[in-house]
Amino acid sequence: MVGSSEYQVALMIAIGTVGMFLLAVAIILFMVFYQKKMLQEQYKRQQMELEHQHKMMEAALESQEQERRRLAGELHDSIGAMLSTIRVGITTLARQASDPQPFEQSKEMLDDTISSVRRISRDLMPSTLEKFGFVQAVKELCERFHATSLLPIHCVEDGEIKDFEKGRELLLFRVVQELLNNALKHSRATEITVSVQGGEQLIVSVEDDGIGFNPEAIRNSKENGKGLGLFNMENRTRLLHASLDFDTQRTKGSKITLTVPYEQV
Amino acid sequence: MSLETFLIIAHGQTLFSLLGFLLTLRAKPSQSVVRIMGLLFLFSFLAQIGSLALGKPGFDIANPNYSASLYGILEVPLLSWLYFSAVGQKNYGRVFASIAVAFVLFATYNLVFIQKESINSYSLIVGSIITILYSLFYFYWLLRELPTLHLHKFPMFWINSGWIIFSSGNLFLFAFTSYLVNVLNNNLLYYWSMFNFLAIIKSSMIVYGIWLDRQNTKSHS
Repeated sequence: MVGSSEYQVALMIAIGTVGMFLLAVAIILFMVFYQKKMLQEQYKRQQMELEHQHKMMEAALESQEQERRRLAGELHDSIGAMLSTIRVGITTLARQASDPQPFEQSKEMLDDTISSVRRISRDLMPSTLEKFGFVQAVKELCERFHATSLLPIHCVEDGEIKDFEKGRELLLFRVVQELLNNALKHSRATEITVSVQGGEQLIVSVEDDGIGFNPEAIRNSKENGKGLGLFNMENRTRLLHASLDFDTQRTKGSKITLTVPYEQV
Repeated sequence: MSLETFLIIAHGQTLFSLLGFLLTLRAKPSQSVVRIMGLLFLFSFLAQIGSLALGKPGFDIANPNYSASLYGILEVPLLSWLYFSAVGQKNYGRVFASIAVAFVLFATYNLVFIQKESINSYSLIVGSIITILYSLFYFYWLLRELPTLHLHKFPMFWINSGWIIFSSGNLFLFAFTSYLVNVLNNNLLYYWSMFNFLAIIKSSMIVYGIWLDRQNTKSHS
């Protein structure tokens, strides 16, 4: 009997201990589950924040493009038209004057001004992009840059390049424009090649034989304005869900490749 | 189980309650959870002293079980207040208050008319069930609100865990009171030793939670 009651007590203690152990395990599992849920919530919050930043960036760039469009329009329609009228006036005066020579210099300066206004207007809002698409706009960009810098700029098109949504097209064009600008301003290159490849993805690359550059050094630079162009390009790339790769293994020059999945454009 | 072993465990439980109360003495008014736990520790300490004193041979004023029964009546209202403060949402106030009032009425009736001077296992069972429900509700509230990044540094998590372990063990103990009394041949030393042992585990976890609260308060100030 004593043995039996001792056995029962021991059994009760054993059941109690197992119960306590299971409870402790349940509490530990709760902690693990809580941590997991917390991480999920944090991730969700981060995603929402990223999305919000994305939207803010899109809005800022859209507002920038609208302003550029407006300025381009004003320059072309208002100032450009006025300058052309002034030129006509000067031409008429030159014809009527006994000595037209003084007017020639003014006409030349006016012609230069009109060209500059047109160039600025085109840079601000490329009408070729809207009328003929991305590839044609890039080709025209290469031709214009070649005309101003006298540097050989080759534009190579390869594969089937699909049409894309206008907003995305403009973002792409701005990136290429910035890449070409940088190559001309900073690379000291003797030759630049822009290639546009179709296929499963759209691949645009700008290659030069200049002095090359270190994108990390530019990002980390504390100089005023330095790195802003790169920052803007990377923002646009992010909005396109594309990738911008800098070929840092090259011994001479640089090659920057923009890869855009087609479903994103 | 010898009397000496039982007394060691019982005194250990008493000291833990005193330690817990002393730790809460310097709590600020904003630390309402800690202050309420201080009250619970104080009443637990007083109940233990009362039980031990009343249980001394020759000191036959009243049955020692009265001490534990009175503490049992006070425990649930204080816990209702504790959890209401922890959750901090006024819309739960009525629920906690109703449960506390209903329990006090039931436990008092049980003490006066039903189980009287014997172990008030009915009140203790209901009290344990209420505490377990409060604990589970609090765990659910934690998952819903996600109030902190590091749960192991959150004081109320440890306090809540201490209470659920204590109450679960007690529920098991009190539900089998009649059986245990028969099996143990009316030797209640085992019975109360188990109770005190669970109380020590609970007090350790709660004391750790209170210590964490002090650390957090120091680092913020």
